[in-house]
Amino acid sequence: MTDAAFDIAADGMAAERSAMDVIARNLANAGKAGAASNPESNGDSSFVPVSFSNALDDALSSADPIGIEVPFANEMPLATSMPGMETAEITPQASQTLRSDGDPIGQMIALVAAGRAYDADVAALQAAKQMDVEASDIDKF
Amino acid sequence: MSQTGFEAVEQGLTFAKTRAIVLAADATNARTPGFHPVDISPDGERFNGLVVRALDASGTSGTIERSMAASAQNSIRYRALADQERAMLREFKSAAEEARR
Repeated sequence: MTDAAFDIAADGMAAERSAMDVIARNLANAGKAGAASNPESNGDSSFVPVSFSNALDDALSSADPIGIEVPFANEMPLATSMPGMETAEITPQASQTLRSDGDPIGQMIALVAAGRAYDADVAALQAAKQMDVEASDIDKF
Repeated sequence: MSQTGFEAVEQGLTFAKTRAIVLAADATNARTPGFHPVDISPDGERFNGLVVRALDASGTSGTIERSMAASAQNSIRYRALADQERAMLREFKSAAEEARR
């Protein structure tokens, strides 16, 4: 029965790993020209709840395993200036847009959160493993 | 040693296994928007019964920490029950060996 705990923890680790990959890609592309407006290079690492009926339909209609959905963030207009800051050199043109995940600080916070969630999944996996080891040792009396 | 003692220990082991699954799901889904963590406890009135209770959604952090702590506690409880079952089996073995002499 703890096989389910293994599967759930493993799926969680895979999801957090994917989130970290997206964050790393966002950070790597943060300074590239045009990256902010390129949907292929700036994704949203947050999770999206999937309804049970949709997940069931997906599972029944496809032999592929259920994965996670990584949506792209909505484009947000970028402020052309910030109060009290000299922005002549670094501010993008008014026509440019920046996605909500383009913020490096926000990305780092999301990275830490993903790391902590990954650790929690590892702890759940270790607990399930420890329980299976204990179960297999019951007959050694 | 009664059969009831064995049943009680095995019930506890089964419950701890089920709780491990629930806690793993809590940890995995903690960062999903709109997710509400749950926990289970044994139902004192029904044999093999479970009570599912919704926990306060204390944010991602609270859910992660709580599920990690509860997982550790659940694992220790399972270990204690497994030790108990082993001890009971050891008693049976001793009794059987004594009877054979």
